[in-house]
Amino acid sequence: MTMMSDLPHDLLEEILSRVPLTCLRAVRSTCKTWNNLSNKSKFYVTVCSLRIFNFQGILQGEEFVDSSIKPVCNLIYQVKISKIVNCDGLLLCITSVNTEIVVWNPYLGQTRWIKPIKADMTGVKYALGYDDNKNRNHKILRTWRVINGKYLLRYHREKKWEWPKVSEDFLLCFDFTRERFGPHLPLPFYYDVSHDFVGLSSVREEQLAVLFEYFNTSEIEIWTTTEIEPNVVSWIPFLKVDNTDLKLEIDVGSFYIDQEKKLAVVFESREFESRKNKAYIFGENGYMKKWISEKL
Amino acid sequence: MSSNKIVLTSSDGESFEVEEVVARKLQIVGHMLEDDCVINEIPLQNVTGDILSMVIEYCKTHVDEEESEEAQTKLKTWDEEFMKKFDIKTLLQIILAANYLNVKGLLDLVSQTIADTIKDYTPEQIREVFGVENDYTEEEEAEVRKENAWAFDEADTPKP
Repeated sequence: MTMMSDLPHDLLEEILSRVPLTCLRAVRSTCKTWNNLSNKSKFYVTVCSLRIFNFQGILQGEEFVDSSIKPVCNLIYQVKISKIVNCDGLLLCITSVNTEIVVWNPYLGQTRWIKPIKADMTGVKYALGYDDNKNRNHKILRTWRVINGKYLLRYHREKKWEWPKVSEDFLLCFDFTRERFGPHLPLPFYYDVSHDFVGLSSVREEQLAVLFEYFNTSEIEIWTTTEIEPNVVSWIPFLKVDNTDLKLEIDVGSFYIDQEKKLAVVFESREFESRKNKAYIFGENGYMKKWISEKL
Repeated sequence: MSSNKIVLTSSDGESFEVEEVVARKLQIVGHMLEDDCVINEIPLQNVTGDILSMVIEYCKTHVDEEESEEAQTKLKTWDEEFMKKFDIKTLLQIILAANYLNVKGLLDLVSQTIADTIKDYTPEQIREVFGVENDYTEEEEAEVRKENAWAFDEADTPKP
């Protein structure tokens, strides 16, 4: 009789990658193999209208054409989410009016609403992290009036949480244990703060990736860290998107990379409500695949 | 469209005569035909006759994939009904065959069907239905189950 254990791992992974995130807890409790395979699945999250989409399995197959993009859930009722911060499997979702934030655990399908003490201030940014205390005290960092700041969280295994910010031409770390900002760290390029776009993304929560989009040409450069410590950072080029032939005009919102496959998934910004949700998958040798959301 | 017939033979010696366009839905066959276009009988060693007949049934239905919404909806309904015919054991055999014969659409369909079954089950049910052995120790299992649970000290809190 054919059993699940007769399936080769790539088939099993294909099946498990299709189980909704909110139901993965049972899968992971089943046995070690299933736990490992389900943790392996690629997991990219972006915000599309009221729904949160999971870009899963896009890298399967040699040509990366098998994009399966599916709504994970209608997470948060009628509230518009403008930004998601990812930390250790938890997602901090910020509502577009900035009055409320919600921490979502997709693994367990749980949400927790948090009302900031002072609501609705312009220019407020949030980040999520935890200290190196045994109990992992989670903390939300809120900053105010940071100009041209882009935020992301970075995890230092067995050390502490830090929270770097790109502003003008440096990174800034936030140490969630000591609750202090660190020194300025350099970026791998110079850019025009008023025009060019710079975004940050974490890579397996161990490294950072930085994306740079030239305003004039919409050419995209992505770099990753080879070393990142509170006081030191070094970079190597990861991917360059030559826009000469593609002629794309991407209003970058967020991005994720896959180092093994040398791919980057770039999501368009959601600032303009009327726009359709778009995402681009870029790879080596000019590989590009575009995804536009269905009508929402 | 070619009306050329191809004979597909299963591991247990059952033969199926199908149109070339149908046979080409099995990419393994498509590749063989490209390599040598005079083949008209193809042995398929890793699939039994009863499973091969189901794969062929799927390919016949999907041979003309029309773009129109109506046709797509119709196909989708057919797919759903088709999947309902099989128990888990058969689905696992079909997915192995679809993988071997390289029928992408069927592979996707069966993967999704199995995933949809899994999502409604508890770990115990999954183990029973799919014959998966629990290799966790009691402690490990408890650990995995409560993983991430520390982040929340209350159950789902609906939007006030």
